[in-house]
Amino acid sequence: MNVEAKEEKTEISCMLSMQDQVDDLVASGVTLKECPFDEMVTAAAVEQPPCAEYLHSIALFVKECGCNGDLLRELDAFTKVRDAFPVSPPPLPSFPLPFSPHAAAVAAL
Amino acid sequence: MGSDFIGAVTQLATRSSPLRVPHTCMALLKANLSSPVSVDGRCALLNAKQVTSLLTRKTFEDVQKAESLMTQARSLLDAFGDQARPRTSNLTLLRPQAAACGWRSPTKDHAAFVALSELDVRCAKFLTKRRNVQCTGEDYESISDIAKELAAANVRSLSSIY
Repeated sequence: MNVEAKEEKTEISCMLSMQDQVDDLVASGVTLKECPFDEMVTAAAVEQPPCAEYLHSIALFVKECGCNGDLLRELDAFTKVRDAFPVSPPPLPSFPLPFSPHAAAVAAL
Repeated sequence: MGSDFIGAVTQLATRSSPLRVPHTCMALLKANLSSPVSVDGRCALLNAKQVTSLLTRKTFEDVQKAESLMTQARSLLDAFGDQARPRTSNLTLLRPQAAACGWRSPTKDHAAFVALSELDVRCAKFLTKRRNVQCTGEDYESISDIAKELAAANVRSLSSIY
């Protein structure tokens, strides 16, 4: 019998969840310093009691490194792309640059 | 990744203030998430001690160079406008496309995103002296070498424009 229950909520999804709450509060006029991170941790700990201590580290990370959520969302996308491409991609692919009429002229030569 | 590691990255962010290094902090997380090494289900490429060591004066100079490089790479894409900067909202749709396409980048956003991510991971692995884990062939001695390699990889794209 399978008696093991496994929680699939990751650290990154916890961070994003807190960041979303922070974004909502900031949009309503609350400053980052005034955001109730302790309350967020308490609420998250209800869902994940074994992680209560750990959630403080995650909340502190969101507070100090969140950067408006842009970099956190980039990190979340990174984990998804890594899942889609489990093996390491080729080294440093070129940045795709937008189409240019000059490029078309060069290609036509 | 563990609270020790995330705590150390947070400490790097707070103690490096007022010189902010947000891209380096995220790069460290990316490097650890892409870790080929795991212990007790945790990514173990990097540990808290290696992150804390970045705060020493000599290493922090490299941290600032790496931060500058990662910022410049994003500014470069921004300079080309919305067409070039990857939109993370598009990346979330990639899983089935990626499986179908193998190594090929399914979209332009994806290619740009992978390039940025690889840059971040390389910088993080270089800073923490973990670049040779599992013989990845990453042969560079400085942040400048990473920048040169990045530039060389993009000469072809740039020459097609100008």
